[in-house]
Amino acid sequence: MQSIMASITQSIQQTAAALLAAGEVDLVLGYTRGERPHQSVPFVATTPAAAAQLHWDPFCEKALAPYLMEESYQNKRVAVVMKGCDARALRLMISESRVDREKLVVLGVQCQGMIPREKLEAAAGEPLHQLTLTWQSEGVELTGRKGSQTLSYEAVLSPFCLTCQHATPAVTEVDQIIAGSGEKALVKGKNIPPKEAFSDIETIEKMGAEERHAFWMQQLNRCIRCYSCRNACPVCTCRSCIFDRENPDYLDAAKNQPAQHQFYHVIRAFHVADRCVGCGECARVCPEGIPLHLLNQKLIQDLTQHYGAFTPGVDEVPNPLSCAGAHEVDPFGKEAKK
Amino acid sequence: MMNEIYEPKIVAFCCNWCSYAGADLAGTGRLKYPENIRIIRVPCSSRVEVAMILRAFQNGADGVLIAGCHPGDCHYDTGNYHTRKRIHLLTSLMDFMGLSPERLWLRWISGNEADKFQATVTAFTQELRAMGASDKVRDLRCSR
Repeated sequence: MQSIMASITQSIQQTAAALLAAGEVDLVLGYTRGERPHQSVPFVATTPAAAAQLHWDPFCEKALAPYLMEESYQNKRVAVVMKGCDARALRLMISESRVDREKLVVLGVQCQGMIPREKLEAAAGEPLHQLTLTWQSEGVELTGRKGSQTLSYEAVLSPFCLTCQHATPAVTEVDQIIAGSGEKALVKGKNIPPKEAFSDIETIEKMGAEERHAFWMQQLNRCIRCYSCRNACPVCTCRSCIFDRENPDYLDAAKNQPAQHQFYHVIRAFHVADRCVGCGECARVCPEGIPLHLLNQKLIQDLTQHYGAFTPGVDEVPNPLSCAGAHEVDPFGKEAKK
Repeated sequence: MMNEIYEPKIVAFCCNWCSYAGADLAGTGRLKYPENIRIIRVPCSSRVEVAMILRAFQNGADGVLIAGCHPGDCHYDTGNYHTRKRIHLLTSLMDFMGLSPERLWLRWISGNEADKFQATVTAFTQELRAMGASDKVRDLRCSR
């Protein structure tokens, strides 16, 4: 039987080819196979023939929404392949007038969850290029030189996907849902609470203040200020970023100054605090492996705990940090009465 | 010989409509408060963004005080609610990162609470003296 991955791939290719042939769109933004084993990279198809190179598998991690902001996509009719998290980011971009929805054809994919390549390699105990993957209903079957084994999807999926509640984009947000046939849902009932998937937060909270400081110093001091986390983030959509400005003398990329790293990472986390869709791109693209998502997840947890649950890109705007009212908690009231 | 007392530097962002007037009244009323404080007048306490607070710490502040109108009294209706939310989150994030959130104070001081302004500054200075110099968020290239 055809696996769901193959059927989604086929469906994307057919839809893309039809759209391009009919001249309804100028280009289709999707994924294709990368150079390395089990890697998928963004791909632009401009002709019906090129659409045959489009591909879908659980390695299509890259968020495609930021591309739509780029110059070369302006004033073009674009069809774009979107996962649930991407579609949420797109909705935020539309509500902020970053992109023109009229010019877009959104192909929402029934996302099955993404598998980080490092995690798969570690779980398999073999280099990726030696592995052949088969998508079974109960797990992924790995056939390598050491023989074959089946790993459950829970063991290999990214923690962000394990906690994801909106894997398939909402029907109202997209022009077409690409569901695919065959075995459905890699993860059955994704209801792992974020606290479990991001247990690091609790571990850090249990440390003493000095220990926490030392931990983050050690993490943030590795930062090389490449700004990958900012560039990859699908909700970091300011046209001119504070960190690109020449002017402020208090902001620079001095790598020997921990304060500059703290500054950058606190501001980055804050700027997306109530808009983070939890795709995990920031941590994934970091060349130094800094767990940046922990800052975002911590802010999300705090917002949820004190100001109620809010799902960016799903719930109606305004976002929690764009509005404030008298009814909210006042943690500064007691001391103020002194 | 007595040990030298550490004199902390405090950067205070005071809302133009309430806290700055409160500080002004403290001056007119000849109320004495520690001179460790440097007041910056802002149009509203919600003008104080995270970057400004971090910049103050980077450049040598041992404590940052944000003073605004009491909830419900904001000149712009909801400005101080925004401040409250933002500083609440920032305090929590600073705690998470081990950046001594106790050095960041948010207090509600109205235009006629000169005594409260005096008491707040005195209390904050005393606490900071006990804590000593801030070294968690410091750009070492900046001279004190």
